[in-house]
Amino acid sequence: MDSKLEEWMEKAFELASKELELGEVPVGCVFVYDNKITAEGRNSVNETRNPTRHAEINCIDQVMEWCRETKRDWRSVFSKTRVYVTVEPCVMCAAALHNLKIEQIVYGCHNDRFGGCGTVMDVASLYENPVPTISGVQEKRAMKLLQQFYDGINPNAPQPKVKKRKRKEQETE
Amino acid sequence: MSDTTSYDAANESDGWHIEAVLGPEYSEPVRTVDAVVDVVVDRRHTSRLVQDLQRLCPIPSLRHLKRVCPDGRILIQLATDSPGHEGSDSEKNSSRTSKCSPSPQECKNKRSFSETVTDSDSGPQDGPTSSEQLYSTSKSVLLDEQKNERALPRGLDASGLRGRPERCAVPASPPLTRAQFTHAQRLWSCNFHPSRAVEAALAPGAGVHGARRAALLAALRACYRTSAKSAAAAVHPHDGSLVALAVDARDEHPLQHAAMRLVDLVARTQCGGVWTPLPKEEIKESVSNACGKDSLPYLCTGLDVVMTHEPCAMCAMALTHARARCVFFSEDNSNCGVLYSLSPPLQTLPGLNHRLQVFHAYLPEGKR
Repeated sequence: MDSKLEEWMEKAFELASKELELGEVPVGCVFVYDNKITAEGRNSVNETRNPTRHAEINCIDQVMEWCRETKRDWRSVFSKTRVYVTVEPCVMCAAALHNLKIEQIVYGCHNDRFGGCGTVMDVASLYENPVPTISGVQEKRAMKLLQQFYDGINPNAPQPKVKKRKRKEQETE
Repeated sequence: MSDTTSYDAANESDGWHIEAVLGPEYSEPVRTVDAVVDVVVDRRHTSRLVQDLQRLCPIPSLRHLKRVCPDGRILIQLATDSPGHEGSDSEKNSSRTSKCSPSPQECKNKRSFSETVTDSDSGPQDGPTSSEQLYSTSKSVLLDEQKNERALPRGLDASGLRGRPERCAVPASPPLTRAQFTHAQRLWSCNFHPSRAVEAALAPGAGVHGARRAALLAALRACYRTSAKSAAAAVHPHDGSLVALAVDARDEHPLQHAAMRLVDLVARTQCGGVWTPLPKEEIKESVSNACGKDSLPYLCTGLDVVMTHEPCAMCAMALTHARARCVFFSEDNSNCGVLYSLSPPLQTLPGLNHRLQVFHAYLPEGKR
């Protein structure tokens, strides 16, 4: 068991809380290599208009940049990197992390919409040597952050039809 | 390997075969499982019997079935030797079916029998008298006298029942297509939630035709012309123009598969994007200059994505996040493809908030 697991998760939660204030999806993520943080991720989907810019993907980009700067081999760095994220990585991010042969994934709450660690799809089953994964760390806290976000409105997302109808009804009332 | 359903128009002169890809479960005949059934002879007891049975022996794996057929047959429980009896398999199945099918209890409350028996071939519709004929078609067999005792659950008030339980094959899983539904209805009254996407893909003449077909094949040729390891392009649904074309750069960066780069290039046309475009890549000029005025409302919404290779889980999900309308690929990828080579394929998973339409395009002789 990772002795500093709680500490790294705490860091991820701090990042997620900051996101909530900025109006992005509150997901926090840290990559830890050799007991040091090599990347701190936040979701930047709205900012970049790129729906793949999840916290994990941004972290991977940061680690790639760090490897380039410090002239390290990214393959060996990722194989000794542990990932701490407040929400279950989506199918895309989970596949990316398994591809990179990360040392370990630790996450908080499940992701009912796109979870790739068994919720929507078990991406690990596609791999011969999947990344060991720990789930449910401070689950309630992570869930609460997400709920707070979805109670607000994402101005860039297309309006679901149901809401439109509701709004019309409200207007006619 | 996933099955494909071919409605390819032979009159298309370009020589390509374009098939809509659905999982094998969409073309398979209805699987059945044996259940113990009886007949309600006094209809005044139907409501109570359904409630009692639901309480005494719920059948989570058969939630897609109505407890009572219009002809009066009533589902008692799974046959003792059936797979899934007493919860061995039923737990797994129930988690899948529970989301889309209301419980028999709910069905009863909604009185939804009438809507599911409109098919002419679903058997006689009224009165327990006519049910005798139906037994022969659904191959039910009288149970052994010894087993008879066990066939009715303990504690059930059997008044209103004929009291002669029989064995009967019933659909084991919810029907996914109208054809399966029609078949399943012949066996037992059944819930059906048609998916517009699935029905569209299965409709005769479905597929890609005319100008759209020409535009997609032109984009595919453009992808091959890059002579990159793999390439992907986004095609505008209105005029068939190329919005962006991306090539694979995974050797330099593990995330930069063609589809991942493509989503980023499309973001660039909307004044976003993170990665620098590569020399071989293309971005539609008019869009990138107009920035936001002419661009699509959100991400890749409605765009058709053309790929030389079947995408992996990361790329397929990236395209799902981007809400691409369809993915049209040429070469399947048995190592890590998830839209065709995986069973069930990603686009059929329940729970995803966006469903990709998938087409597999190939030349029959392998020529290009």
